[in-house]
Amino acid sequence: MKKFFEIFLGILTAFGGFVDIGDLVANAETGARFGMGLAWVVVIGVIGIVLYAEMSGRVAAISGRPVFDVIRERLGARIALIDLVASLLINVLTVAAEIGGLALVIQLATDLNYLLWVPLTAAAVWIVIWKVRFSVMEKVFGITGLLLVVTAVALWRLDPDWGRLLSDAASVGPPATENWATYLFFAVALIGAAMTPYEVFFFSSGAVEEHWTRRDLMVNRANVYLGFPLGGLLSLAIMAGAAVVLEPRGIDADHLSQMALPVAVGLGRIGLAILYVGMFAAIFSAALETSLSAGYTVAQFYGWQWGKYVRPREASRFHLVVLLSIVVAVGLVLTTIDPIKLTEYSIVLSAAALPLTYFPILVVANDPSYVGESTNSRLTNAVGFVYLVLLLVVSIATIPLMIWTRAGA
Amino acid sequence: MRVRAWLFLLLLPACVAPARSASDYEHKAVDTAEAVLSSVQTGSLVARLGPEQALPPYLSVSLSDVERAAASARAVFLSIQPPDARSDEVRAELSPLLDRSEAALADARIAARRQDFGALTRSADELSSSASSLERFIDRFG
Repeated sequence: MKKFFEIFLGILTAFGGFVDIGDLVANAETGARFGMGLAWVVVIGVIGIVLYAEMSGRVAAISGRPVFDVIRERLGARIALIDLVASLLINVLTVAAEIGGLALVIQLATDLNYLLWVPLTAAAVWIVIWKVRFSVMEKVFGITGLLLVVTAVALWRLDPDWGRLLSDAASVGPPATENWATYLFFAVALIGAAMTPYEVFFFSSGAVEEHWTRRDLMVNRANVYLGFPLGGLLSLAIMAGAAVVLEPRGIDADHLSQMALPVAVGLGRIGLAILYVGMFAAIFSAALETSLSAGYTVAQFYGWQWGKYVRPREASRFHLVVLLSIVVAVGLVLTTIDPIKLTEYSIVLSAAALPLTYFPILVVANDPSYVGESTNSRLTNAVGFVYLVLLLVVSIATIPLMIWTRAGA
Repeated sequence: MRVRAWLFLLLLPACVAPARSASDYEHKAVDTAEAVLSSVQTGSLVARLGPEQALPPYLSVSLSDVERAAASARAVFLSIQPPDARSDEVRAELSPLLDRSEAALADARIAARRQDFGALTRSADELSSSASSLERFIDRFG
C-alpha cells in the first residue's frame, strides 16, 4: 500500500510539475497562431522526453549515480565539458525565464510592476532550496501545479467544436496565412520546450537524492510513462484554449495576461484565481529544478559533493553554484528584457543544444557497466536513434530558422 | 570575433529593416495593423469581461500590456521612411487608425484602473470599432 501511494504521488508530481514557463509560452503562442496545427509536435516532444527521462532515471536507479556524473566518466572530460557549458548557459537562461515568469504571475494578481517581484521571488526560490527537504519541495510544488488542470476545465466550459480541433490537430502544414519557415520555427520551439535539457539532469539527480535503487524502477516508469504524458495533455489544453479564444480573433499570445484569457473567458474570476496559483506553483517548481540543475551539472562534472541529501555545509560549492545561477538570472531579468521574450530565446536555444544532452544519455543507457542487464531494448534504441537524428536536424535548423523568420515575428 | 558574429546573428531578428519599395512598405503596414489588431481585440475582450468575470488587477495589467504593445508597434511603423508617394498614402491611411486604437486602449486602461466599469464597457465598443477598421485595412492591403 505504501509503495502504491508512493507511485501515485510520484505520478501526480510528474503530472503537475511537467508544465513550466517555456511550455506555457510555447503552447499558448502556437495555439494563438496556428490553432491545433502543431499539436503533433507536442506529442513528439512528450514521447521524446518520456523515452530519455526513463533512460536517465534507470541509469541513476541502477548505478546510484546521476547521468551527468556518468557521462563525464564514460565519454571523457572534453565531451562532458561541451555538454556542461551548453546546458549551464541554457539552464541559467531558463532560471531567468522562470523567475521572470513568477514575477509576471504576481503582477497579474497585484497590478504591481513585475520588476519589484523579481528579487523577492528569487530569494524565495533560494530559501526553499536551502531550507526545504528535497521530497517535500518537489511534491508540494509539483502537486499544487496540478491546479493547471483549470486550463482543461476552461476548455471544456468554452464548449469548442471538438471535431474541428481534432481535424486541425491531425493536419500537418501551415495555414494559408503563414509560411513553412514560421511553422517550422514554432515546431522547433515546441520541441525545445518539451525536451528542455534541465529536465533529464534534474530527474536523474532527483533519483539519487531520493536514494532510488533497482527496486524503484517501477516508480521511474510510472512517473515518466504516466506523469509526463498527463503533463503533455495540459500543454495541449493550453494550446487548445488559445486556439479557441485567441486565434479566431487574431490575438497573439505575447503577454502572460493574453495566455490567461481562455481561462478568464471560460471560468471567470474563480478560474483566474486558480490559474494564478497553478501557474505560480508550476513555474516555482521549475525555478527550483533549473537552479538545482545548474548546481548538479557543475558539481557532478568537477566531482564535488552535491545534493540536498547532505547538509548545505557539506556541499558548499554545489550550493554556491545554485546561488550564483539565481543571482545571474536575477541580473538578466532586471535588465528589463521582456521575460516572455527571454523564455522564447531559452526554449529555442534549448532546441539547438538538444543532441548534446541526449546523445550521451543514449550511450550510457546501453553500457552494462552502469545499468547491468537493464540496457536499452532494441525498440528503445531504435526509437532513441530516430529521435537523435530528429534532434540533430532540429539543432541544425534552429538558428537559421530564427534568423529567417525574425524569431517567428 | 567569432563571438561578435554569433551575437550579431542572434540579435538580427530584433532589427527593423528599412522599406525599399512600396510593396515592402505595404507589407510592413499590414504587419503593424495585425499587431495592433491583436492588442485591440485583446482590449475589447478584456473590457467586456469586466469585474464579473475578471479580477480588477487582471483587467488593469492586461490593458496596460496591450496598450504598450500597440504604442510600440505604432512607433516602429511611423519611424519607417515611406519610399514613395503611394507609400505616403498608406501611411496617411494607417496612421489615424493606429492613433485611434492607442487612444481607445488608453481609455480602457484608465477606466479599469479607476474601476469605472461603465466607461470600461463603453471603451469595449470603441475598441470593437477600431478592430473593424484595422481588419478592413488588412483586407485591402494584405
